[in-house]
Formats: sequence, C-alpha cells, structure tokens
Amino acid sequence: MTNKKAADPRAIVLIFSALAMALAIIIFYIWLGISGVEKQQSSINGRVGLIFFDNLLTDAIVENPSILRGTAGTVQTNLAKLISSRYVQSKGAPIIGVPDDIKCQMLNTGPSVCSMTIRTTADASNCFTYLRQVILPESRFVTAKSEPLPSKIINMNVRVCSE
Amino acid sequence: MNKKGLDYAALLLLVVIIGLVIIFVQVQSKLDKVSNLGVNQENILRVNNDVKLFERYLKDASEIAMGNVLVEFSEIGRTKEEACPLIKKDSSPVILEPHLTTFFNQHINPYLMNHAIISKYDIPVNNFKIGIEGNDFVISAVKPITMKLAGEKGEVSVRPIIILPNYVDRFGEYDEYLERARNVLRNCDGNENPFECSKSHLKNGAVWESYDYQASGGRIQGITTKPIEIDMYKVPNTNNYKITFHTLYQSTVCYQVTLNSPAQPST
Repeated sequence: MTNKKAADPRAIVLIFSALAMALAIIIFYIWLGISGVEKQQSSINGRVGLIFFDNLLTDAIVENPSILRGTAGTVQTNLAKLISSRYVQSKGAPIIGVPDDIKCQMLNTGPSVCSMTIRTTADASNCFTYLRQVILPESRFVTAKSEPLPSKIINMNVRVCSE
Repeated sequence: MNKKGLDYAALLLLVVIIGLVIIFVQVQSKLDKVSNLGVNQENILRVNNDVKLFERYLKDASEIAMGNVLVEFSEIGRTKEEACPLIKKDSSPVILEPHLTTFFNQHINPYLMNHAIISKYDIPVNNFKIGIEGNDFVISAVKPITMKLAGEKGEVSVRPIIILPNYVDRFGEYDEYLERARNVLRNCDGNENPFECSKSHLKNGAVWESYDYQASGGRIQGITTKPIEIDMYKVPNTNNYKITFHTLYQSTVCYQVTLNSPAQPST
C-alpha cells in the first residue's frame, strides 16, 4: 500500500508566487537595463552631435573670422551658408532648420549674441545647448599700450538636436 | 485551497511590488541624470576648439600688433636719422631689428590682457619672442598659457607658435622702389644739389608715376598714391643716403644706399 501524500496547496501557491515575483523582478531589471542603455546611448549620441557641430563651427570661424563681422543679417547669412555647406560636405546630407533658426544681435558695444538651433535629423529628439564664445581682436593703432583693448565678443548660444 | 497560503502569497506579492516601485522611483531619478553622461568628455574635447580659436585670436592680434610696431618704427625712422628700423633686406642674411621683440610685446600685451579678462585664461604678458625662418616671422610663447576647462574641472596649458607667413616677403614690393630710388641717386650723382635733382626726378614723373611730394630741411619725402611714403636723406658725415619706405598703416622698410661719388647736399 502506498501512501500518496497530496501536494500541499500552500507550497504550490508559494512556489508560483515566488516564480511570479522572480519573473517580475527579472522583467523589471531587463527593462531597467535596456532603458538605461538607451538613455546612455542617447546622451552620448547627443554629445557626439554637439562636439561634431562645435568642431564644424570652430573650424569655419578659425578659417575665416570675418564671417562674424558685419550687420546681424550679414552674420546670419554667413553662418547659415557656411554651416549648411560644411555640414553637407562632411555628412553628405543637408542640415535641417538652417538658416531660419539663426538669430544674431550684433552690438557695437558689449557682447554680440547669436542663437541657433541645429537639427541634424527631422526627428531629432536629444537637444543639448552650449555656449561658444568667440573673441576677435579689434584692429586699430594703440597709443596707450597698458590699457586693455576692447575686443569683439560674440556669444553663440547653440542648441544641437540629434538622434 | 488553503486560505492562509493565499494570504501569505498575496502579502509577499505586495512586498515585492512595493519594493519594485521603490527601486523604480530611485532608479528613474538616477536615469534622468544619465543625460549628464559625457559632460566631462565633452568639455575635454571642446577645449581643443577653445585652443584653435585662441590661436586664431593670437595670430590676428599679432598681425595687428606687428602693423602697429611697423607704424611706430616708421615714426622713429622719421625722427631719428640713425634709425634703420626693422629689417635690412638689402643685406644678406636678413637682419632683424633687435628691439622688435620688445616693441612687439608692448603692442600685443593689451590684446592678451583683454582676452584674459574676458576668457579668464591665465595669459602671461611680455611672453613672445620673434624669429625669422625663411620669409616668415615666427612668434613663439616663452611661458605656457593656461586655459581652464568648462566646469572648472581641469586645465590645459598651451605654448603657441604663430607664423606670420611671407612677412619678410612683404617688403619685396619695396625692392622695385629701391631700384627706382637708386636710379634717382645715380642720375643725381655728382649733381651740385642732389636733393633738388632728386626732387625734379620725382616731380617729372620719370621715376614715380604718380605722387605728391614735400621737401623740407634736406629731406625729400614723396607720397605715392599707393600710398607709400618715401623718405630720403643723407646720413650726416657719411657717404650714405638713407631711403625709407613705409605705408601709412602696414609695413616699413629701410634701405641704406651708398653713392659712389656723392655730392654734398644742400642744407
């Protein structure tokens, strides 16, 4: 005679509960991992886009600082043309949102300001902003050599949005 | 089914759910900070662009400062007859005026100080020395310039070298004028009054195509339409005539010309 003992229903419930909880915890951590990686990747991509654009802008200014001299309209046009052409050259695709998103305010005294938003793709989601300050020496003869000269300051508030 | 087992399981599930929610909230707040990922790396990479822009500023400021030095030298050349400023290209090798570095530093210092105020870089003054390499002026920093990274987390030191290319060659255009001036002197060689003679050569347009001129106190000063000013005078107690060319705002060059059989200039 065999004494078959029926399974304890409490144990079964506990086992299934534990399995369900373990599954929930595993799913949670997988989600967490994927979410974390995506956010990191997105952040890194955004920074890469920012650095890429800063390099592009800086090289253009270093090669020809005179693009930042003139009226607001002239500077806006210069920047728009230059950024567009250089972006196409390096990426093979047109940039989105230029030149409409470049707004400059050029002042004779005090720092001039140029604000621009650069969208590298239509569905650009990651936006990072940074300040690129450009200082240009003013050309004139100095008699008082000990006094600092006013230099032209252009603060460029750049917002780069990339995938 | 045993009710106690279900209660126990439900309690466990509740604890786990609460635990997961707490973990979720905590992790979510940390995930939001992930957007700062790469900030330090970005600052390090962007400082390269800061250096590029600063070097460009230095180069432009050097051009301006050198132009100012040349204007100042030309002023010295006008007031001191013994001065033959900047470069003696007529000699070989090209000789650099020994005080050029001092003058250059005096003129570039204000630009450095101005940049330091704006950018907060640590920029030493009187920091550049000048040399000649081929046809270029080579301007090099002696002490390093320190630039702080954005966010003040670190700094970068640079010791820039600026090349003003073909700067010596800029005096090439004066070779033509030198030759013409020599012709004037040759034509007037032995003349009783070489200054009047030279003046007439200048006036009749045989040497300089288009010019205005002034003569005062044994010195001929011609102003061409370029505009280039030409000073010519006899160095006292020598057989030498000194001819100085300078533009109004750029460069000055000085030539010393010796006549084979000089005549006495009128005084």
